[in-house]
Amino acid sequence: MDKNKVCFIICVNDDMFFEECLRYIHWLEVPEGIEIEVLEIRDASSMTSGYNEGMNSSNAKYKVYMHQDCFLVNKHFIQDMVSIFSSDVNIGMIGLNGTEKLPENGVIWSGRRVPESYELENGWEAYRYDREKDGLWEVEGIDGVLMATQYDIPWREDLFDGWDFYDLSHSFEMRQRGYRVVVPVHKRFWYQHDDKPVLALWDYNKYRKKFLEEYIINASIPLSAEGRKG
Amino acid sequence: MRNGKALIDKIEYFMKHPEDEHSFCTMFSKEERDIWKTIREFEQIRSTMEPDKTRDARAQMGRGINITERIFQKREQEREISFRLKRQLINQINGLLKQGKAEAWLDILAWYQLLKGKGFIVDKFWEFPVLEIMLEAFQEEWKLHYREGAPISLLSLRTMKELTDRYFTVVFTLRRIEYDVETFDDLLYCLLEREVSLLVIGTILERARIFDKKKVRTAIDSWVGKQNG
Repeated sequence: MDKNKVCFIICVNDDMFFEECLRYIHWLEVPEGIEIEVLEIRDASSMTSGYNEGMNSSNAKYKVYMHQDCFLVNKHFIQDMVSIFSSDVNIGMIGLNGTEKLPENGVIWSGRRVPESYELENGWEAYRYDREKDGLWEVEGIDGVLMATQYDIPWREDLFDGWDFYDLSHSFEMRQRGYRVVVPVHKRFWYQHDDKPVLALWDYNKYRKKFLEEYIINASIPLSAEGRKG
Repeated sequence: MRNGKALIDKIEYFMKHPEDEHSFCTMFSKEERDIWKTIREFEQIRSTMEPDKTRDARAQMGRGINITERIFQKREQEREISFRLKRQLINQINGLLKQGKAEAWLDILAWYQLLKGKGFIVDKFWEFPVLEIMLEAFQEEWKLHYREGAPISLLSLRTMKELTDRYFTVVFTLRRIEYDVETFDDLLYCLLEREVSLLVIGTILERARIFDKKKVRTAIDSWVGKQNG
């Protein structure tokens, strides 16, 4: 693995959105000595299969799995991400939105999520993330809009062969292996997500049931991440 | 003259006289009749899904049992008909947009309001929130057109794909201004070249997910000031 390399892995089915997503990636500040790679995955049959394809094609230590409609607006994202991973080898994955305690029904947005927009403080315009001062939220699961990893763990394409629950599944896979999953405490958005503002979720329930069966009903790790804050 | 009001009148007549098949066939085109039949079918599905008010069901709801399951069951039951109605409606909208006339946009507005009022599909597919914002922009342009004779820039759109692409082009451009990703002079020039009026840009700015609207608005005002010398 190349520890000086960051690979962005994106499943693409809309060129207009992907080009805009790329524009922001190329706009980011790249710390000296760091190499950037972008892998676009076309015609993926599922998010997990696309991400496995990307993961197996890159030797980058740091991989950022993200949606084509996610636009990174924290110009220092790469530096911040590498700094968080370097601070603790036990951190397996970083997200930008997550839940400290996943609701029992497995529906991530039916419980409290971090961060919440009202937590933006005065003066946020001039705000710059500081890992030491701001810290991290320890979470049970993160939203799939952006998932950054420093260890390669197979995405569960055997179970999640659609476009839902791949994110919570990967969060639980990380935690089952003893890695921390975290969200940086930030006062300014790190990304803008033009998710075409509706939740269609036509297949959501099917994968929700699979998720509950695999990770909650037959749980091999405690559900709550509480008490493991770092 | 055919306009959105005429379409609403026809719809209201049919809602009051659903048994009048003859009028139904003469008043609506085949495409409109198909949409209307799907709406009726949708209403029947919804009526069979009304909440169970029996004591047992209330007790279950009270204990929070199966609420999530019921929500998702409803979604699954509506899946096929939602996709069918979406397909029919977008075909209809494409046909109307192709006309390039304000009256056709008023028909689109009437269909949109009808479905929104009934709570069908407009909150399930991303195209419709975009359409709602563009309809709002159209109404602003339409008012100005009647007041001052200004052209209606949105009449140049011929399909839903063009409409949604135009919307996201504007949103992306405004966001680049917000985050200083590119020089806004060049970007705004590109926008105007693409025949989007400042009225449309302003409406989208207010409704889209742009966090620092004030910064973007100031940048646009400054640019317009420069253009006007």
